[in-house]
Amino acid sequence: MPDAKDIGPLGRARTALLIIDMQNSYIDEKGALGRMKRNWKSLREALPGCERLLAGARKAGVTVIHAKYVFQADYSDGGVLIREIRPALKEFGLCQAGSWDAEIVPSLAPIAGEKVVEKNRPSAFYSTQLDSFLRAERIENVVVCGVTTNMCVESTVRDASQRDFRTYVVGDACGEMEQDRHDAALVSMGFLFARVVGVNDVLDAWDVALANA
Amino acid sequence: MTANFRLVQDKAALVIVDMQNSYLEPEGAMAKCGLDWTRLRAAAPGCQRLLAGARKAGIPVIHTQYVFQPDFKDGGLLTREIMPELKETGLCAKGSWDAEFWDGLKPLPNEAVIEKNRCSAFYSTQLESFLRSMQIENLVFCGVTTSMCVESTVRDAAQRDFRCFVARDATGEVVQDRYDGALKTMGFLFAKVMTVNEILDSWKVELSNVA
Repeated sequence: MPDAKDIGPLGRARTALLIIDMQNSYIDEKGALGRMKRNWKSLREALPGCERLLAGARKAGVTVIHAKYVFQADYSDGGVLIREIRPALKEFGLCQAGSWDAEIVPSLAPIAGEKVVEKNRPSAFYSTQLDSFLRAERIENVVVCGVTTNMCVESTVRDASQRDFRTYVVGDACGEMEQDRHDAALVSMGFLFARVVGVNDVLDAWDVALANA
Repeated sequence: MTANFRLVQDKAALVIVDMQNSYLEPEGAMAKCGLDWTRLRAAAPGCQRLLAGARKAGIPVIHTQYVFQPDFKDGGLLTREIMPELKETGLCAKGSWDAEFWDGLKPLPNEAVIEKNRCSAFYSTQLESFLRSMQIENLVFCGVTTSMCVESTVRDAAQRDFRCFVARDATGEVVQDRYDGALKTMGFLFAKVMTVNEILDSWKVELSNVA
């Protein structure tokens, strides 16, 4: 069975770490998903891996990009998703511009020099500057982590891959509310779009030893 | 949970994804790659019924076609690094029999054909401007493969605010687990998953002579 495992070795050069939607909304008990009584705890399981990748990228000098799901305060940009598919997301104030809910969790807060890409759709490439930013930085390899594995991570990975970025998805730094969709997403991404790797694989490839990880 | 919007005939189009010899014939590239093309061929009867229904109901039909330049210079990472065997087997090479639409689902002259060289039929194609021009809001999807080109296209359609409907019995994938996973994924946030009969009923078409 062919799969995407054979794309070249991962290194520091021309590489970016793309952290998807690690916001209070998804991984804090008081966030929108927690208030909706959804399984935010499974999403929070992605946090330690994301923290290690972020520390590693900063140490290795790898470009860091934070994608952030943000809707206008009145959800005028929410489209069919908010209006027809999941009106509850609006009722619970998911990722509302300017709110605490929409903020990136404190332990992954962007620092000066790190790009933040705001998006109002699952893919971080759709209607954003991400593609032009990556091209301008001559990035060829994208390492993706965050939440949720099967939704925003997978949509972004599919888009990165068909834009010809070598794409690596870090399975143990991603989270999904249900195990079966987490597993299925990794199978789909690994089949054609990305190489599925672990946090340690990436840190080894970047040749960074994290004393306190 | 799934989308609770209703399919109506108004402002609808049928999108048939990649129903080409490459995927549906025993001499096609998929078979040459050792993949189970019979699971893809299984989508054909459902696609034929939807196509006949759309034509009868006057619903616009769009056929997407995966096509690479004959030397695969537009194949990118996929054919260069990820699955070079796709190039070796001549998958969907422009001008080849492999790239042609399967006999039972040939486009009529008034039906749009969208050539694409990536999984999503929206990426680097005219599909979106075509749909906006036609003032289409509701898209019914069928074709192959469920978890690759169908799902990538549905994800892109949904985030472009088209209401998406996927015909579960008119789509096919080479392995069962990715078929099941894709339908669950699409139904979670991007589309309403329906049967061919439900779609034909909503279009109010009765097909007496179609298998």
